[in-house]
Amino acid sequence: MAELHIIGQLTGAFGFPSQNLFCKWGVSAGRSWELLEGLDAGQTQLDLAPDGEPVVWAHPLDLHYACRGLAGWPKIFFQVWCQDIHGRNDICGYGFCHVPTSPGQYELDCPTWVPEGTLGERITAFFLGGNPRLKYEEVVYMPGDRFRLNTVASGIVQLRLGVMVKDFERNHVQFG
Amino acid sequence: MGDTIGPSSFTILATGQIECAQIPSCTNAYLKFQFVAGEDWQLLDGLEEGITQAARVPEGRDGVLVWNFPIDITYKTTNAFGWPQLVVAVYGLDIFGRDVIKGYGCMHLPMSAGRYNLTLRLFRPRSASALQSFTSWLTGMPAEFSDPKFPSYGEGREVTRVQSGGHVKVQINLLTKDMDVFGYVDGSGRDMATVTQM
Repeated sequence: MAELHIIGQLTGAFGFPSQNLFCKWGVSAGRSWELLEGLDAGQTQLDLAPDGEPVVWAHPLDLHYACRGLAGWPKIFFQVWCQDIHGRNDICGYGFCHVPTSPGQYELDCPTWVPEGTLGERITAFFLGGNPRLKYEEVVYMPGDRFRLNTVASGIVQLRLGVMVKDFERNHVQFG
Repeated sequence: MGDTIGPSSFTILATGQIECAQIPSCTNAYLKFQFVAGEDWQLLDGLEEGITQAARVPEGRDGVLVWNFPIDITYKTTNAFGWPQLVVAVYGLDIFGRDVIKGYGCMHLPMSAGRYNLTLRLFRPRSASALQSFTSWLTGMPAEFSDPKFPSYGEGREVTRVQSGGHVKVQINLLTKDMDVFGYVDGSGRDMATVTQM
């Protein structure tokens, strides 16, 4: 049976409106993928970075999947949250990226977006906090109907991933 | 298939150096490092942990602390899960001359054979309150992680609040042996122009 190793870290982020950020992340894979070892969801530390520098999470990722079918290649999705001086957490960005399908060492930059409310909601959020959040979080990484969702671009999440495969070529899979 | 008995494990060899660090408002520091690997990994050669010398920033130059500390480590394993991570902790001197933590950093060793320049960004725990921050400055005991391997863990990080600043530069050359016999493909034999390298 073919196996996939995803080993690396959620390095950090930059370009967000706040410098006090943490990230909730998860990995989603199709039905023919089975997680043999490792954690496929987690939350990073809350880091406060100096102005102009990227936020540092350095959260290790080490996943070992068994693959019986190529459909549903794993993808990593994130929710970036910020904490204000009062200790309230607010959503700052949603994003996802596919794990690269060729083995090797990668530095990935994943852009994120945040849902935008009406003008009234934005004014309220400015004073009271509470940006709109997604009700169904699968929208971030599943293809589907996002037509009624208005979003605005947010910062960029940085990942450092190593991808290693076992026995794929024995099953006649080409990576290019 | 199966008439020849191949190797029962593959080996990785990492050599290189912990080159230098740049940490704001830190002019004198040393670094403690350690390699953390999974249960299936066995150390064949080299030191899994060590301490560099205490370095000082030269007068009139950019604040670069140079250690040039050699790293040489060989691991044997049957499973790529638990790939070794390099965890560093930089300690500096405060104005009263006591050792205080300046930052922790962590990074996996690269997975493809080759030469890499790694930048480990440093972070350190934040005190829980302004009062605690003041008393820790006074007594020279800022908040530290009780387990020095903590930056390499994937669990339990959600309750930590840290502040970041500074980075450590590490050069690593990685060699692997017998990975192809095991059926692993790590991408190092491929055309590098199509792969995003660091």
